[in-house]
Amino acid sequence: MSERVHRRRWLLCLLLAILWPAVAFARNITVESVASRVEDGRFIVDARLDVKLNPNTSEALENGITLQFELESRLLRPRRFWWDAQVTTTKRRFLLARHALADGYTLTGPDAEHQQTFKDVGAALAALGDVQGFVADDAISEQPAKQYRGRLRLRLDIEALPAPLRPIAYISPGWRLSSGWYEWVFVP
Amino acid sequence: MGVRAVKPRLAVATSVGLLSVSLLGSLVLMSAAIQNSGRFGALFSVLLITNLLGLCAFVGLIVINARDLLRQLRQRQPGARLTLRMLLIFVALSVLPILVLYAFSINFLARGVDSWFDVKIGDALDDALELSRSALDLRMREVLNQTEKVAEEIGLGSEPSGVLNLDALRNPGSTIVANAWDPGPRDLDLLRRRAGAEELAIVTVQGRLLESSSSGTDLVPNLPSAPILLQVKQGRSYIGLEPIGSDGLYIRVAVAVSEGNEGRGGRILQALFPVAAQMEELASSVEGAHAKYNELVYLREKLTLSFAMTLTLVLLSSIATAIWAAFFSARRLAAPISDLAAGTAAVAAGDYETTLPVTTADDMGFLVSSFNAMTRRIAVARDEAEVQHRYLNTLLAQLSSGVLALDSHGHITTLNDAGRRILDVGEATIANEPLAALAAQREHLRPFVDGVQPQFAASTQRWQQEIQIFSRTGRRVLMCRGSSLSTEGEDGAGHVVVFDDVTVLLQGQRDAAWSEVARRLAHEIKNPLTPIQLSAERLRQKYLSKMAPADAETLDRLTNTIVQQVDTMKSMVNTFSDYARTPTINQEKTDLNRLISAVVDLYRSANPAASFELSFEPTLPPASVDAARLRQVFNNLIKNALEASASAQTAPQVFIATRLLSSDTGDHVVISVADRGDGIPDTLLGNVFEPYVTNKTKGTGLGLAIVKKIIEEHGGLVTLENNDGPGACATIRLPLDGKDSPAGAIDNRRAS
Repeated sequence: MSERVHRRRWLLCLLLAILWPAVAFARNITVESVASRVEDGRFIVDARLDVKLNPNTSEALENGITLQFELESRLLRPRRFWWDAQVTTTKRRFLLARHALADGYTLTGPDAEHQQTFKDVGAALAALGDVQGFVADDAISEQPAKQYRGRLRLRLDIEALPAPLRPIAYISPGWRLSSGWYEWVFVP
Repeated sequence: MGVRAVKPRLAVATSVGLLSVSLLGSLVLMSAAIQNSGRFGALFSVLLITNLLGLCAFVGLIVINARDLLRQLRQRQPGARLTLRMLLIFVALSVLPILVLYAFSINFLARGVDSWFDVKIGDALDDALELSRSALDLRMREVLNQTEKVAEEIGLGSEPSGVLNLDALRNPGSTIVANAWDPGPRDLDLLRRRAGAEELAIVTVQGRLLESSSSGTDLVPNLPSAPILLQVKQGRSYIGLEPIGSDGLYIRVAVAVSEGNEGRGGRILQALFPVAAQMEELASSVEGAHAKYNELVYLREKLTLSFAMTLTLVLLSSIATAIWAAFFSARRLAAPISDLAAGTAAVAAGDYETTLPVTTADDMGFLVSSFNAMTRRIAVARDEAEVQHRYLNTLLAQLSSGVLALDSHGHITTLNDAGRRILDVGEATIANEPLAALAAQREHLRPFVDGVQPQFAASTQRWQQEIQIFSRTGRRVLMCRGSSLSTEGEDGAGHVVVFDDVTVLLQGQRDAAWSEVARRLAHEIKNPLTPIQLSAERLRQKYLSKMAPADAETLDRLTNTIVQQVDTMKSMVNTFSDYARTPTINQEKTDLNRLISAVVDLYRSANPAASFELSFEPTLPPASVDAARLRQVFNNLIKNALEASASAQTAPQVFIATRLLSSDTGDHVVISVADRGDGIPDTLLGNVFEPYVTNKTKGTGLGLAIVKKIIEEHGGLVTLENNDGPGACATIRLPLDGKDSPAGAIDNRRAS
């Protein structure tokens, strides 16, 4: 009896040891809600993401490092005996930077013209997470299907960091900011 | 082996060279990427991974090489230790300076990067930023005031007319229909211009645009964000400095429009004011510098780390390359030495056919070709020595003299075949035995050893000595001549003894002398005998009848005695003359088995008690012998055998055997006559064939001498030995075709 308990404890320890990295590097970006639609043959996504910075990225931001986020959306057409066909894939870049003079944060994106300034970082991150009318580049009319699968991901682009930071960012999980692929079924 | 091994080695070297060059290239690119992220920044990660992979490849190569070397060391392959030593030297020579350089570089790097940054500069930049802010604050307060005034005006403004009605503004009690208030663009434009704003916009608290006026071409006004709206809604005016796109810095002001009539839902006036161009430029510059400096300060550690990492990567790559190069060079250098070592080991093991491939034209190649020349010469010398040795051995084997060679310690090095035969040591291995051991094992050689050894001690250069030994075949007389083998200036060298068995020679000389004596004796004695006999008979005949009976009887007895003794003497003289004379041998083909049987038959009938055992070779071919004389030989031998057995308690036993002996010198028949009698006393053994040598009380002592004479006349050989058991055995060896033996020839020559 006690042996079994011991074994269970061991199993628990083992499980913890295996899952620890996953627990430790819990995602800082989570997708809260996604709504998608098709307008004029274009795939449009509205989503709300909860974006938080971790200590490393926060420190970098405060010290004037521009954080580049990449929002990527994919529309997939499921196939029965094959991999899903990719209908559209669209990427947008958001730049989050500290503006010392204005004592605020600027969020640029999805294009260079679209710039907002926020007094505090939370507001900036909320604005980053508020994805409204994310329009895919390609029209979907060419590959009509009854049902699609949508995918969305927001992540920090480590490659866009200054070179001295990159090796550390690659090695350390404390630099990883990604929502992972959020997937949903989409019926137009 | 050489050529085949070189090609893949060269290929490996080339590929590793390419690998190291590409590694170096990517390292250069990586360091460039770190220093100037604009150019190679995008490649940085790829370069990093490439370098790590290259490093891994090198480490793998080193591991493989090290394992190979370890295996070779375990198997104690020639050259492995040398390779290891050279490897360690190379690695130490290359890695230590690199490590020193690395340590210094890291130190300089850390200090160098730190020294770029100064607290003062940071503080100054902060101050500059603060100064910019305070400068802008003034302007911001100013524009806030203006905006609040405008808001007030708008809030009071009731006339939806194009011109601002000052009376209406002054009189708050005038009628204003809020819903109908819809100020035209011209009004807002006016207010904007008057306030000096870039853009004026009236929005609802929800952020919906009600009206706007802009000096620029932008059709869509830049609307306040949700937090601003919230702040204003809560009753706090917003004023903030904002960089807007590429247009530069703006001051955004958002104030609530104070409503005369509550419940209108609330409106918010937002104004954007440009910052003066010069001011903006300066502020932006300060901001840019501050941001850059902050970034650099922040990145300082990371930069140092990255530089250190790149440097470490360069270090590891260099060390890996150096170690591999050390492996390669050590192998290349050790390869000919290994070959040489293997070749030397082969030569040491006696394989002089080893030749090594000459692959290089340098000193090593010279060494290898010298080695090849050396082995060739050794092989030639060895062959010559072997030829010499064989020649010497053949020479020694062919010598009829015995040759005994001893080394400086008195150990036997050589004893030739003749020596073995003469000393009667058989086939026993006696090499490297001390001379004394020879005597210890074989008692009959004691006189030889005792005679020879003092001569070595005496260290006379040359000596000669006659030594007698007693072997199974009787007394042998050895003429020994010895000399020291010492060469000039060398001490304690070996000795050589050359000895001949001169027994036969002495025997021959003695036999010849005896023959001469016998002949003379016969001649000198025989002549007076007849007159003596005749005289005695005549004396008897003449005076016997005349004498008195007593005297007559005396005379008769005396003359009879004289006649008898003369007869005896005559027969003795005849025997002597028989022995002395050398009659021609009438050789004819005779069946020896039958001849022996005939003789034995005579004795059988005469001695019924004796037993004769005959063992004949059934296929004995007829031999060319003088049958009458051989009959005498067998007569004598059988008679001797029977007489020797007479004293024995048991009945006499005689064993006679014939057998055929084929050898290089022709076919021989060997006849042995053995008995179980008393045997021959040792003192007589060497001389039994000499006349008057006998242990019998009667007999002339010529029987065996005659046997020997007849056999030697037939070219044969007779020996008499004691058996291992009781009795003796006479062995006759006769050539079948009747050729003369050397001994017979000597005798015949002497007799003639």
